[in-house]
Amino acid sequence: MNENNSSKLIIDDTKFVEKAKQGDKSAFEELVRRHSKYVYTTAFFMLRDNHEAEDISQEVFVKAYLSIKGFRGLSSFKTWIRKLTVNTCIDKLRIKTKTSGKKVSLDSMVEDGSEILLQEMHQSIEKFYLEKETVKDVLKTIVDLDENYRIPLILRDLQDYSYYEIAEILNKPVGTIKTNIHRARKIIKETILGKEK
Amino acid sequence: MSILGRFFKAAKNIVVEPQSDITDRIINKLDNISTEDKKKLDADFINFLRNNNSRLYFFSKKLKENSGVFIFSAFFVSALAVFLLLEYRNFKKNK
Repeated sequence: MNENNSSKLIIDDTKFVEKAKQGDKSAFEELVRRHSKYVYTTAFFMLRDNHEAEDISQEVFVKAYLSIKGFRGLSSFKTWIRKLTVNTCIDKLRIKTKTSGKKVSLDSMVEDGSEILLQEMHQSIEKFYLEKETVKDVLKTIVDLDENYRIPLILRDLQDYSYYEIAEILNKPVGTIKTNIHRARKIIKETILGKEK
Repeated sequence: MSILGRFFKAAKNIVVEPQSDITDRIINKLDNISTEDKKKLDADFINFLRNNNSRLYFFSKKLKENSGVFIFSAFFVSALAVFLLLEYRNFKKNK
């Protein structure tokens, strides 16, 4: 069901992308409506800041809007916007002061009024509740991770980037990336297993 | 699927609802794009755009990520070609 919906969405995106490339602003606005929360969510977990995530989301779509005519469609629009979001977040992280010493909690991030939702609602309520709470625990652990672990983990396990791509984006050796991801996963696993006890 | 795999699969479906209506904010911004915004299409961005529009770039990336498979396939094809050549020569000799 999810794959059918994804395929349908990709086909529909193509239609809007083609119109946007011809200068149809309302078509691009539809693409914004479809993907803005996804972009915001990605930026939210990479930057750990509501306001910066909003700024980045805006910047990503402005860049996409100004360059949509140059988009050849070798990947889906969603993939393209995802890569653009990641690149913009990485640039932001390079510019801003190192926050590795700054403790940020997921609870403080959602206190500003943001809300974490699980999009897939087809599971039974009980299973959904259990999984939602445990997933939130995992996300809390991810948010608390040092940047050197958090960013590669998000790119690998939540954004499906390859090790090679992550190494290229972060300008680090593939071996370092693999080690950091392995350590991050170990921390998360310990958190989950600790909760289950 | 491992316990981590299961949770990451669920985490991929997470959507964070922002406090303000981000969609409206973005759409309003598109009507008010400034010169400063246009400056963000810098050399790095142009490079990003060029790479994502290049089949050669995607192919070379796939090659680098799967160099082991490529080398093995090339070796296998070469070995097969040598084998077939030798068999053909034998066939011609015996003929």
